[in-house]
Amino acid sequence: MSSKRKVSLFIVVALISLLSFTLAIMATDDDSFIVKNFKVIDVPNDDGTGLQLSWTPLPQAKRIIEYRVYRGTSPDSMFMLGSIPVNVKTGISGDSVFYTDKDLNVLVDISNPGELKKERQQGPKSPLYRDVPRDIKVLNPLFSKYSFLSIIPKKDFYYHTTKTKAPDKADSTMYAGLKLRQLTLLASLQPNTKYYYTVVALDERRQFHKYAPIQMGIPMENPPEAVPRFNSVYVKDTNKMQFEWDLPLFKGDLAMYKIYAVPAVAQAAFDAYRANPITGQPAPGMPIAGGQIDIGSTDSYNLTTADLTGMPITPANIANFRFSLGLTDYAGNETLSPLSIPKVVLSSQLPPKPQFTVKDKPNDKGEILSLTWNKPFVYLTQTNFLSSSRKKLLINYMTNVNSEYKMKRLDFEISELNSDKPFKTIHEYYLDNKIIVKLPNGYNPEKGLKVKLFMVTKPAVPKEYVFEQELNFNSQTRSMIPADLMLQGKDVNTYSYVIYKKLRNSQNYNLAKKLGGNQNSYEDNIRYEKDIYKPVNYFDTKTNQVLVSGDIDITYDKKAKAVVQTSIYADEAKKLMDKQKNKIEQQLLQYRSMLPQIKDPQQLAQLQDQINKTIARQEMFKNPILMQSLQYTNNKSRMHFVASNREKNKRQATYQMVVTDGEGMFAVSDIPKDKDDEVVYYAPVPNWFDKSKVPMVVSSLLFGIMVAFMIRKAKLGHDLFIRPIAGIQEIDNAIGRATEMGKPILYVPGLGSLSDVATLASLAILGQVAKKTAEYDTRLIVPCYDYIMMPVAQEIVREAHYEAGRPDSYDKNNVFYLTNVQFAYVAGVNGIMIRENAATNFFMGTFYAEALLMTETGNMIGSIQIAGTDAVTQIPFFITTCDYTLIGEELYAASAYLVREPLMLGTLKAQDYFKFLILFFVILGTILSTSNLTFLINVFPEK
Amino acid sequence: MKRQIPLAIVIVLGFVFVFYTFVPHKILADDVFNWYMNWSYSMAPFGMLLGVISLVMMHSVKISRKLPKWQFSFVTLGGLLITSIAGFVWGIQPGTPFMWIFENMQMPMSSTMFSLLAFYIASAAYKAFRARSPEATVLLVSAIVVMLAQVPIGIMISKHLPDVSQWILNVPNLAAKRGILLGVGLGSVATSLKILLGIERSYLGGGD
Repeated sequence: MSSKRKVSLFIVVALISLLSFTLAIMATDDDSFIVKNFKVIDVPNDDGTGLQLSWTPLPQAKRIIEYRVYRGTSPDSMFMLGSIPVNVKTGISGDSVFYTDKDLNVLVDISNPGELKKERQQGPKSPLYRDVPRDIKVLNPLFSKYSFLSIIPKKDFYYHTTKTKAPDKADSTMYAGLKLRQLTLLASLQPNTKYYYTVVALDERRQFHKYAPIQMGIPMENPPEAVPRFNSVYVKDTNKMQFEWDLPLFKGDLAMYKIYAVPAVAQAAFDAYRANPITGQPAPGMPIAGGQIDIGSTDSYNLTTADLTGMPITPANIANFRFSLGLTDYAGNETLSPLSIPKVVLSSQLPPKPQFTVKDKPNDKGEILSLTWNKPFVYLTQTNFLSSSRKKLLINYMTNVNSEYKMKRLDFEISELNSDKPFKTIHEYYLDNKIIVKLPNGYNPEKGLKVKLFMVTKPAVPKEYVFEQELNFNSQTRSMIPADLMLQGKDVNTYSYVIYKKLRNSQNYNLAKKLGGNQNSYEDNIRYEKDIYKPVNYFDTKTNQVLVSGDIDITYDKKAKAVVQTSIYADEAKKLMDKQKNKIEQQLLQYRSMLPQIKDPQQLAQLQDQINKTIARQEMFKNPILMQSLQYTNNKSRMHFVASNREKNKRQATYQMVVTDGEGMFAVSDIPKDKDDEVVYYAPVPNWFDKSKVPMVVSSLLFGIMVAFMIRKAKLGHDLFIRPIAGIQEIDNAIGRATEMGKPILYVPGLGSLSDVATLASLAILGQVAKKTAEYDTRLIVPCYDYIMMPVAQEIVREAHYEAGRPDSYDKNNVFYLTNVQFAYVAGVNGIMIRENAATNFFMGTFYAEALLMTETGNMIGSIQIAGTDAVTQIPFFITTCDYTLIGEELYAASAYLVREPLMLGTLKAQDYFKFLILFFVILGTILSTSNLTFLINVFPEK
Repeated sequence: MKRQIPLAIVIVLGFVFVFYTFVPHKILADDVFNWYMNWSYSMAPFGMLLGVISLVMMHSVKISRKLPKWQFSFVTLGGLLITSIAGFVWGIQPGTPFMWIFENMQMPMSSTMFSLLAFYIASAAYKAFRARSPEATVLLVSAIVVMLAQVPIGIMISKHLPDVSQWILNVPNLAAKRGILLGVGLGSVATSLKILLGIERSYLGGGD
């Protein structure tokens, strides 16, 4: 073999080796992006609808920006479920990344693709797809694997559905059909179903790497978690028990609670059973209270009272009993709490029953109800020494005043800690949340201070309603720290307030808010309904629709004590009513047939109660609103009627309040009831006028009248003196200079859009400048920042040329769009300024940080510059670098000044007089406030 | 008609938004407002299109007429084309060519322009602080006090310097600012009123 051939062969082999090595490295490299230790486990203590995914995060050197999670009901096709974003610079610090697939999550909405789309860079055999497509054919096989809920915009549900038969021929019900684009589809996992998961890492180049080995998980129904806190209190004189507890983290599956009394001697047996409970077997204890836990409730708080009359628990033997709370889920699993030893108290030791009022919040769009209770509160929040000698102390305070009271004055009595004689009394008329106290000579603040807080209100609070708060010196922060707020010797924050709310068509009271002891009002938001939530009944592949029930609640019937249902289709409404009637009649027949068989008087009474309730329910078929809705033949007008009634009904709520120490010492308010002993429901009312804006309306009208008066005066020929503004007077000269020099003029209209008043004022000035430049035949360059403003500017300049009789000289390429990026615009404008060597520059409008960059450039090239802006922060830069500057309002006045029409001048003059009026009120307000007369400043709104 | 119809639209919608300020009712606060917002959103793309057309026309003319520095117009048009293609083809998520252009070209260039501001401020400060008149001297002294109070050496010179600086900022400075803002507020109301009543029509093009 010749040496040449040998070299060639060597090179070929070396190249092949190098290529193989590179490919091998690349392959290894790609595999290294697969996440390790990927696991799927069941979520403990849940209702069987949750799985938890975990994996080891890739090292920070891999520059990962996101982990994408994919889920499927088979390992052959998996859709993107969600993602975990990663900070590329820090990576993930922990050993594992967790992702919980639980509850209802959005599966399909309008942003999902219309058809199946393979995930990027995954190869043809990959089972990974992007989001679930908006395709009924893809969704239909998933129907049995997930629980689906649809969110439908209410107008779509009322007016834009198609009455459709169920695809299942055995089902004769007519459903409301909607296209996938009309709704958002939520899905949650189902218990005992197989789900497959994988994870893909995305790096900062947006490369989708190989997916992790697919893992399977099955969500399982688990017993609920025990309550984290359970307290019991025995009220000796009334022989009642009070219980209070927090609900566990996963509470969606909780159905019932039951409280058991356990003899102290049986504690060991109870604990043994608690450790290994047996489903179906009753807990070893005496049930003394129980009830339902509302599924839709998001509360984590609960309490109840149990009357022990007739039970073997008495004041004498209460010490021999312990209590436990059992939580039962819908599968019947019960979990018991550890035993609680009751605290024995007298009813006089309990907090007093709270009283509150509910009112519609005034001046709003009808979404808020205001709850008020208690009198106003005032408390100290923090303090600061104002001098190093610690002689002056700044004390900050806060007030909580609800709408029932008006605070007129606050009095502070400051004394030494162990003295009742105040060394300083401060009367606070204007509540600015701070007072300054000069400490007595020689007093060491480290000994502490005592502050008594009095208030003068309308209506007046009792004389003994005085707060007291100590200020104790903290040697670490070297400041006076406010201690607990005391009212008549009791700590105000011992008890907190818990507000429960019940909507008209809901069965239970749900937790609305828990508030501290120094609170006295709560605004509850009752939002207007925007969407309707409906479980999905079918995916119809024939019509490509999602089918949901067409039934809807229309009103609440007081006599029947039930929510009245109807259909969104007029013809179906009658059928639905007949169906419900039959169902109730069947129920009645069944109950009545059971009557002769029952001998136990208690069971008999229960059944009779059921029968009475069922008979009462028949009243709903006579409900006048339902009857009226059945009269309509036109579906659209019928739904208009249904919608207005149901929305009115849904937005009604009643409240109950609890005052509690969080450990079973609580008192529950009465439920608001009317004369007929019916529960009162409150509805927020939308207002047509915001009364808090009366001063604004009055001043606007006054200003309008002044403008009209001045315009009339100007039209009648009165000479209205307008203060000369140098910048405006110089505009003509500046244009003349450019004309003489034969150089163009640059007009910069600023960074504002057409919605900014400064930009509109700038356009008005542009019209005048353009007219002059057209007359002088000088080129005017207008680079625009806002593309919507650009055609307006073009039109203004064009019109100006026509008015000047020089349409031929108009070139629309001189008024052009530059860019809407701030500093790119500066670069562009500066470039134009230097290239075109502009003789005159106008800067009129809204400017930000770019102002100085542009004007300094103009200054350097020797242009004459006139600027005008309402941006206070940019005015100093303009004054420094421009020849003339229109400050603030002068920009708005410029066009009137240039035109000198009576209409314009009148407005300008009125503006001046109005300014005088404002000045008058500022001075008067200052004098009155200094004299402790605050009525005038209270007339004006604060914001 | 060319003037009257837009003027009528401005006046009617202008008053609707005056009522929007005083009427909190749901009909105005939600329904009318959302309806208006949808309109304004749908108008924006057409405005953008006009802007792009204007830009292309201006630079095409520059290139065709070989106006001074016409070569730069190729850069502008090229930039417009490349960025648009990058955005339309690969999207605008992080990691796409569009974002690469944004992060590695536009952001550094914008930062460069912004960083020039420091030198421009120094130059402007030099002009402003020259003690040519009593007013300029007051300005100079105030500026020195405020600047010194911001740095540790200030408190070493006098412990009262931060208080004096704060007083300058809180009293004369704030009073002047509020005076300007008061005028601006009133001027805005007056201009809005002029537009609402049809007195100010220059934004429609032309003076009347």
